[in-house]
Amino acid sequence: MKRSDILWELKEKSHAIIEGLGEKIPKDFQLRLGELGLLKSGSITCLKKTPFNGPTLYQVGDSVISLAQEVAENIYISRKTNG
Amino acid sequence: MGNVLLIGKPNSGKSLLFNRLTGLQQKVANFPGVTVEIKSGSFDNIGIIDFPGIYSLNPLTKDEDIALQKFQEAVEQNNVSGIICTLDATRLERSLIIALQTLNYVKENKIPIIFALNMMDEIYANKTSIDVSSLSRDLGVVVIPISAKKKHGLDILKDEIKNMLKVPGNYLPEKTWEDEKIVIKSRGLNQTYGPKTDVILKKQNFLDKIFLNNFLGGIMFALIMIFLFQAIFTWASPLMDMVESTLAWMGQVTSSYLPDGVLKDFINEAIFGGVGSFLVFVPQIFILTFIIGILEDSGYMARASIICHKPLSLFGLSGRSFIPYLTAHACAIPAIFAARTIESPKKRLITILTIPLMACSARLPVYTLLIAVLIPDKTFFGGVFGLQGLAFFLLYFFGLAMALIVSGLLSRTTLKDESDSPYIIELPPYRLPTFVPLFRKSLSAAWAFFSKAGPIIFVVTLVVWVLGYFPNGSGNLENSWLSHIGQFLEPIFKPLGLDWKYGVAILASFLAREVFVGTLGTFFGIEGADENISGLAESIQNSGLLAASGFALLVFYAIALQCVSTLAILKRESGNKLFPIWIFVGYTVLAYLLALLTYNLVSWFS
Ligand SMILES: Nc1nc2c(ncn2[C@@H]2O[C@H](COP(=O)(O)OP(=O)(O)OP(=O)(O)O)[C@@H](O)[C@H]2O)c(=O)[nH]1
Ligand SMILES: [Mg+2]
Repeated sequence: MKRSDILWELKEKSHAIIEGLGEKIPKDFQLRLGELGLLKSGSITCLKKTPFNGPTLYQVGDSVISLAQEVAENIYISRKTNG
Repeated sequence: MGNVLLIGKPNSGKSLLFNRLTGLQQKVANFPGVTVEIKSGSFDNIGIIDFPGIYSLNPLTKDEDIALQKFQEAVEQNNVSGIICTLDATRLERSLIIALQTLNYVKENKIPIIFALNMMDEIYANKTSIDVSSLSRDLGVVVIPISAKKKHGLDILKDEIKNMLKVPGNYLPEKTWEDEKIVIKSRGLNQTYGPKTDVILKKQNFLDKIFLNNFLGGIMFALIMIFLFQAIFTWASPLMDMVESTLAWMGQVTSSYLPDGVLKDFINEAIFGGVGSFLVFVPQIFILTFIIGILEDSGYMARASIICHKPLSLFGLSGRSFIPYLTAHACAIPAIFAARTIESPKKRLITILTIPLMACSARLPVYTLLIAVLIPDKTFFGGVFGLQGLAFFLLYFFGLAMALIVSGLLSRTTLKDESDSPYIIELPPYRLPTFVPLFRKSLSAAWAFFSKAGPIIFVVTLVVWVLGYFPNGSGNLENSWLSHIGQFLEPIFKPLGLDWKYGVAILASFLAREVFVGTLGTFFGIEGADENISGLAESIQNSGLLAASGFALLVFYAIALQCVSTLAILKRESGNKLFPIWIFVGYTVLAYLLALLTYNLVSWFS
């Protein structure tokens, strides 16, 4: 497991496992991200990137959320092989 | 007896269920964060309260904060006899988080609770299912499957509510969950009993590929916006012509029955000329509400917010500002409330302060009138695009551009926001709009526009007419009382090439913008008493208003904050007594200076 991968770099249509949230994300916001389905060791799928590095769509659990770059850059993942 | 509270995840259908139970018309729309204030109603003498949606009992945004405070207050004051927690069956995992947190909370406070599992129609339509009875057993709570939209299961729910109030003991939650485990438990419950996620998200994910496509997405966004603003102008015209000719006809009929004299002059000039010229604009409000309503129901608003996030961040705002900004084109007041869903306090404040620059519907009459005066009625491509419609669109764009400039300046000059939370939004499903409720909603918006501004316009028109009519009667405006008063205003408006009549109309419109039209209507009514009632635009054209002055007026109205209610709400929502004063003075001065600039530029060019 390498911690260097970040969510923002996950390509469209690929899956990954969430490893953790970076310290740059405020505490109350970390809590909310969890409640929105971003669970440690849960899976996440990148559905759609938007132009000009706009917010990206991710599927977590049963919902789709969009995260801005500032957030997705601070979320660590490990890639699933051939996901 | 206390009330029954409706709690649950945003966009889970609380407000629609509330409307179904109480027969009221609380706003329903397809994006998270529609309801931002609590609202009460009742059925069979049971008080029901609709709450803003909350993702969790740990609040992040202002609307969640308010909801939670009110919720806790109600519980502490023993004002709660029961709770209905709505779950969105298509987002069971998300819904269960707040639901399980609420279970813990109500168990501690011994409040009975029912889960209403809403949107079951979509579960069936997708040919998937939920094991409701096992879910209920596992949770230790009564779970009623319903569809607020299709009105399924509502009678059962009502019976259960009544039963809950009679025998609360049977509805107390049996279990509690450790806070840290709730998120994982929700996922587990959804996987065990819930519907097939892939099936449910299939259509949504497919459509998102189109609407958020790198290339197509932007083009479609632009087309939708252009269509929206063009339609307000083009589609409304036939309706407006109809209202105008009906009024003219009514004016002729009534005056043919009335003897000559003050009463006849009053009816013709003040009622048909003044108040009537404002009535003409009601259809525009209808169409505006209707199209925004389609966007709100379809689920597109959340996508538009994503598309706008990056561009708006350049000006210190976020994609969350999109919905308040768009709403502001109908009216600034609901827009200022809608800004409560913006998670960063600083961005929220900047959004609130710039909302009054959006071209709200009270500006519509002024814009439409002046455009009809200034811009020739030419159309291209078989009437699809018109010069007047284009001018209209540019005015909307001007309002937005001003708001962005002011936002940019404010965000760069004020202190950095410590608690700036990043942008995040849950995407609602795409849904086809339901047209009958939409039609009704638009009608009531048109009525509200009329009934809110109507009385002010009536009173102002009355005063203006009396002061403009006496002492010499019709056709003698230049020697009336009002003209003597108006002369004092001339020095202010002369630099814009406007005479005292426009000065009075502008000043009066600080009560409400629409008054401008009514006041001018009354003036031209008094002046041209002998002529047939012609359109107000025509009268203004014949009076020889300079083009430069006309454009200056447009710019002035685009910026000036002439709305008492907006100032009052600004004070409340910004929590600062001085803001409204600053912003009022600031926008008025800015409006005047830019109008002056416009006047001189246009004069110089022509
Ligand atoms: N298909 C379907 N749609 C529903 C049902 N109930 C509500 N909706 C739709 O779901 C969307 C959200 O409904 P609202 O009543 O505004 O939801 P809310 O929970 O009050 O949302 P917030 O005020 O934002 O917390 C709207 O588009 C409704 O038309 C249902 O039973 N079936
Ligand atoms: Mg609601």
